[in-house]
Amino acid sequence: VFGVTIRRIMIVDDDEDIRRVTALAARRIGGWEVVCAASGEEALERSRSDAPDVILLDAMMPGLDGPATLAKLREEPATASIPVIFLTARVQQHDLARYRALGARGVICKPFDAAALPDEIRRLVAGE
Amino acid sequence: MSADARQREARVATLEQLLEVYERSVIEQSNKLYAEQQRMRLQTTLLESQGEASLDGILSSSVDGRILFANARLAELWGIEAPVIGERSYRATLGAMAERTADPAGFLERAAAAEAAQASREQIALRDGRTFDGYSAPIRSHEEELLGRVWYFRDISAVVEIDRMKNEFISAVSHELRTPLTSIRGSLDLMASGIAGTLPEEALSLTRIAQSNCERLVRLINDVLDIEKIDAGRMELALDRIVLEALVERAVEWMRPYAAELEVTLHFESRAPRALVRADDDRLAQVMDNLLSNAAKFSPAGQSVEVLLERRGPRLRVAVTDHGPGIAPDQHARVFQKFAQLDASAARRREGTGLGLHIARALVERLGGRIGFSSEPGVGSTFYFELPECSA
Repeated sequence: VFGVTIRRIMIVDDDEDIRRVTALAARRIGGWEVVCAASGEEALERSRSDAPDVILLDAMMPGLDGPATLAKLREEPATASIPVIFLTARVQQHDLARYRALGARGVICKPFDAAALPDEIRRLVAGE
Repeated sequence: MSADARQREARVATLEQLLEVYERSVIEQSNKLYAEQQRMRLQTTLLESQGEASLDGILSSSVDGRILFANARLAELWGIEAPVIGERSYRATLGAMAERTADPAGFLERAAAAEAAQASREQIALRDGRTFDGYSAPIRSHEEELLGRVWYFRDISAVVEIDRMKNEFISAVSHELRTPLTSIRGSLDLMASGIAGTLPEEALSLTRIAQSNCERLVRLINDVLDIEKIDAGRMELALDRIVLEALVERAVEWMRPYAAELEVTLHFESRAPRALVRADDDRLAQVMDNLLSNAAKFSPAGQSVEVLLERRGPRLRVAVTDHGPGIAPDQHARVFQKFAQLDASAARRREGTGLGLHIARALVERLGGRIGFSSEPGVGSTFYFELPECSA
């Protein structure tokens, strides 16, 4: 069985409150180190410097949105293989299919159960 | 006077009499004819004025392709030259219209198909972005002889646009609501989980109230979005062959803890193991969830809810029976309507959105099945859905 160890997670969302709540869940329930980014641009920068094991990426952000950020992450060797999970407020079937086609490991719909989030992330990263 | 002369006189008198009768008859006839002519003229004027006054574009054609009538509005709506009545220009007129639609070949194809049909109706998308409602019907004589066909075209762009804006608005608001709800729900979840410190018992119970109402709000948003998708014809289904028994089993297991909270037990009996349906797994589970949670909510404590899967001819039926208060006959017509929470006081949990059964029906019908119920006040209700069985 292919085991995945997460030590550091990056949370990318333009909404500060969502970043704080999600970060708290990741730190206290997941037991992970947390890096936050408020935009796609910041996410690209910090993913190079902080080398997270998984990225939680908001799909709809002003500027560089989720899909565009993922595409750029994939272009760079240093970040190309980091598993990415989308956070989305849209729950359309075709969006989900599109995100998977872009190479996302999974999709979590807002509003999610924060207490159960770390387990959900582990499950998606393990590819279950 | 000679006999001869008298005879002649008598004949003349008879002739004069006849002439008079004849004259009178001719006058009478011509009066009638005149009146009839006046009536016809009035009819024609009436028909023409009615046709011209209409906001719809109207085009009537004969079976041999001549134009019987076309109003000015038709030319104006379509932006074509006014068709000349009587000319063999019906085909040319349809052709000119087709060029202005977004799908000319499709328009002509459907127009040809419509000619064979009794009455037909379709929405026509134009190249310039407008939408017409097109309606056509055969013109028949009193003796049922086919004389031609009449077409009506109405510009419904405004209605279509308002509908689109309404759906877009609902969708945008729903998505916007999710962002603040994510923080609220997340904060409540983390508070209730105790990671931010142990809460005093009362604070914890208040947190749980906020949590469950937050979830209710999420359900409402999801339901409103579903309705919007259904109304806009944008409900996407991921169809797959599904073992119905497994799906029902899963839904029953999923609902068990909820039912247990209400002290209701769930029993599932399958008389069609391994039987397949073609359906969207998630959406059908949503239908099951709805029927099961309703049954549990309306059951008295200590009662059971029975779920039965069986064959009904070429279909598979899943029936969920409760022993609740039942539904009064005068409420039956409202059961599947939007926001139709009936006598909610009968429910032991008031957390529904009033949209569940409406959505369930739309989903089952989209899957080619049907949904229904039977109920007896004081005895209970059975809600069921049926889907065509597909071969292995």
